[in-house]
Amino acid sequence: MPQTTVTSPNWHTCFPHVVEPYPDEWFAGLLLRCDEMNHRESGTTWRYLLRSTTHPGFGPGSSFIVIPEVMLISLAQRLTISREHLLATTYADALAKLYSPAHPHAGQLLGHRRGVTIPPLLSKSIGNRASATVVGFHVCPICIAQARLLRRTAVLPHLKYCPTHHVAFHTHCTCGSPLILFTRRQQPFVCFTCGLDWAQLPQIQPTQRETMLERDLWILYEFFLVKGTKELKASALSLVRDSVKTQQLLPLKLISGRTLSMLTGNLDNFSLGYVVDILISLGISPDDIMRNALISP
Amino acid sequence: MIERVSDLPRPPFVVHQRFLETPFERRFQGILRKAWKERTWHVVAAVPGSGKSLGIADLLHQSGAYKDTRGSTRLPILAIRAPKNAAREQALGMALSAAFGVVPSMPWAQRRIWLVQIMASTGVECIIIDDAQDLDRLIHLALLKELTDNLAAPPYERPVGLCLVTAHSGNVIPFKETLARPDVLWRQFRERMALIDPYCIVDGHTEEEVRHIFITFEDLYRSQLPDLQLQRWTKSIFNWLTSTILDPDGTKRVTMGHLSKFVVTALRRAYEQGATDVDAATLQAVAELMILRRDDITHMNELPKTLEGDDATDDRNLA
Repeated sequence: MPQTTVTSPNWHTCFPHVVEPYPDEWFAGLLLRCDEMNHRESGTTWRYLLRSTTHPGFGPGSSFIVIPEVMLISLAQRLTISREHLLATTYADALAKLYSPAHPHAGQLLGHRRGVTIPPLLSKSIGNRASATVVGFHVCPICIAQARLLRRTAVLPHLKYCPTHHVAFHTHCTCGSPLILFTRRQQPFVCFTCGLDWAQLPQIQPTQRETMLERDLWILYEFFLVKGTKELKASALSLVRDSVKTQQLLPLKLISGRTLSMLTGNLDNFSLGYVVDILISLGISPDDIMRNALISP
Repeated sequence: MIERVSDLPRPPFVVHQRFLETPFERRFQGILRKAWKERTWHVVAAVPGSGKSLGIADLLHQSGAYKDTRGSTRLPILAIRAPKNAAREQALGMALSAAFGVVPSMPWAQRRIWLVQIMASTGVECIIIDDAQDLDRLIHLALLKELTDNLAAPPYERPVGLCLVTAHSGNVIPFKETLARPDVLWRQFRERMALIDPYCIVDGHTEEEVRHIFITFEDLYRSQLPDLQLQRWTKSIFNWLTSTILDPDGTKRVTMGHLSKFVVTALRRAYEQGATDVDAATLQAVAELMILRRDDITHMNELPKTLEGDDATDDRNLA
């Protein structure tokens, strides 16, 4: 295991306790774990990164899906790990493959930014304590209990159950307050209102129908985020276009609750979350996409 | 007779940077190790230039401190230098925090709690404060007492050793007078001081110890001065270095700072003259430089020569 000794110049440029990312850990989860390891309130590491780097256009409303290079480098130094190791806590690489030559950004996964969702009433009650919250951010109580782990899946749209433990993700505490990533004057991994540890949230099993839907969603996400290329995405979109043209005479109700009546705009710019939403709703599988890619010119 | 080597230009003189475990260091580190092992509190004094800071650094290097990427950090010895001209307790708090690495800013009330948590989680067993004579007697010592008391209390229950390492002059030990006062704080502080050797003065080197150090110097510089025989000059050098100028307290002991400076300067001069050993004239010239001309003012009115080979370093305890 790599060690920093007191004679190393790194000793004074890294945090007192350094942590390396777990496989598939999400960047924001790593920041929280770093806070907890170093006995600091929730969001301290995040605020430190915000203050110690310049990052135009990036701030408290971030989704932590793509992180500015300067922040990656700064945090890598503070944790004595490589930048590449840290990059793996984001979806930057996967999105770059799917959307090249465009630079990866959170919108490619989540769609148009819906802003920081602190409702006005909530905002009143917590003042400026919420440093960051993420739309659709959810936690698996078992992942938290076992390893204080927030996986990258915590930001994937439409998933409602943990693909590893098959229990419901939580977006709200049992007290009714939304889960907020970083809150001042509060420990990491706890509800900012009642202080309940996220590990204590109930473990709710999915129904059989939900299990199948979640499995299909996860398979599609894995397909795109692990093996995905721009060509495969194009193949998927061509299937969508054909399917909508030939089969969907009536508006299609998507699993997200949105309605699709016709395809407008440049399909290449559809977010991955939206593409997965449509594919699932149309019953298109990764095998269909692969087959279509092989026969397409 | 000292041989001169050929006319071929010699490479620049190299000063060995190795830390020497001198008799002073064994005495000094001995008391630090005792405080570490037995979690006792001491005031440790030595004259300036003895090699206290280097001794602390060496002990820190040997203490087994590490940080691993699983979040485990161990810092058995928390060694800092006392903040200068900063009488606020935050200054000491910041110095203690900085020893752990990068610490994001936080309010002072939060930091004093955090300090106890981080000291407990990193396994601090002994706190060493160098240049402790610069500490504010009331504010800083009260903070040290508070932090160590909180560490010793539940839930941590970790008693820690404390060494206030100070420079001193004469037989006066900083803190002794303060801690002897009747105020409750000082009585409490005195209660925590070690029963054995609470106040220690670590002496410099005797003539015999200097002789032994010269054996080490001969080994280290043999490759550059093949015929080096320093030992035969022990008495003369000892006498020069215990003159009233260099030993104003009349301890009749030699500090490693003076010894290293003397020897390195003499060896460099001999080397640059093409010699293979030092001679009496060179030693005499260096002694004059250190004793008689140490406060001379030099007018810098010529262009500097090349700096090649100029390895001006802090020579204390460096061979």
